[in-house]
Amino acid sequence: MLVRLVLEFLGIGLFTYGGGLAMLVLLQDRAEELQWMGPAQFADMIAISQSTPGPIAINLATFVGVVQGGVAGAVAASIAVCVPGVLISLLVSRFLQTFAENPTVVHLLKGIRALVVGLIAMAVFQIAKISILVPEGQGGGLLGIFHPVSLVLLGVFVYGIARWDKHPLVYILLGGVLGVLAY
Amino acid sequence: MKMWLRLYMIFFKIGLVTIGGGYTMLPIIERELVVRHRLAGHDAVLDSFAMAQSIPGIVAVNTATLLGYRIGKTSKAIACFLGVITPSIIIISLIALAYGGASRIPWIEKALQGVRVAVLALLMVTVWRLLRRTVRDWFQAAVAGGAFLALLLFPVSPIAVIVGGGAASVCYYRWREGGSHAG
Repeated sequence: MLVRLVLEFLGIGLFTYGGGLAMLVLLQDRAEELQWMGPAQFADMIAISQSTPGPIAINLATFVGVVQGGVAGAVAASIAVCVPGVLISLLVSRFLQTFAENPTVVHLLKGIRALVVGLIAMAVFQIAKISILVPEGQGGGLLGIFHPVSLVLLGVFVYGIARWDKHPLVYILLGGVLGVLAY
Repeated sequence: MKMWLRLYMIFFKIGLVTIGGGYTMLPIIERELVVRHRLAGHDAVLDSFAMAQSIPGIVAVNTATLLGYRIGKTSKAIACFLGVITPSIIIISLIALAYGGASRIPWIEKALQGVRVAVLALLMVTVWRLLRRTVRDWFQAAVAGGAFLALLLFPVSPIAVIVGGGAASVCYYRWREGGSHAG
């Protein structure tokens, strides 16, 4: 159990370029296949990870770890997700000071940085399904698949974030308050 | 105080006061390491932060590892990396353990529904900003769009998309630079 968790997070850590958000699609993929958690719980986990101290990626790994294997799972998953990056950082520090200027690395990162945006967009698409669509089997028609209250809230939030750009925590707390009032 | 313990505590504090990770962490690292403790120079922090983004894994963790190595080789690097992830492990473990029961309380359920919409809005705005900042040429646009569509339309793993996109990126940019040298 714990071994499986460690192996999965070693893999996730190796293919994460950037941080927490770049990791989302990899996590979603594993969470779905290995039934770590449902999509609603997944969205809640992102909210918690963005609004509590620490790097988002570590918060996500800890959350999955706790759900799967208690505190031992949390420690194992969080350390495992760091190991590939830490090992490469140590190797680079020791042997490859010019790593970042290496042409292959530069070429790779140009594409990967753009690719990661596509990956994040996919994660966002999955979260849209759980946060603004009505559960399957209810509602009908093209517009009927959207939850009207959620759609209005989404518009308000997108406008607010683009306009004022406060810390994510502010919008997440506001979402909680509006949720209690509106649903 | 032993150096490794001192570094562990400094990075524990950095992990504790950063909410969200990534770029929010940079000014806090500078304040603690450069101004308060005088363990690293301004340039060392910026270099490490830039380098950390070229290495797979989590930017905050890689930055801590690279800075730790500069200050005192491998043992100090490990102290820094463990320090920066410890607050997350403690805080998220507590929250995740409480979450299971709390998410079934009706008003919290409603609040979480609102929170999920806020998370969606935050991520949508993030994707838009990343697209504008990252995508500079048609190849990058194709890679970002291609990654999204591949995951949406085919049962392909995100790791396969990252590996394929990375390889394509190295080939494309090498070919283009090769072409410009010849011409």
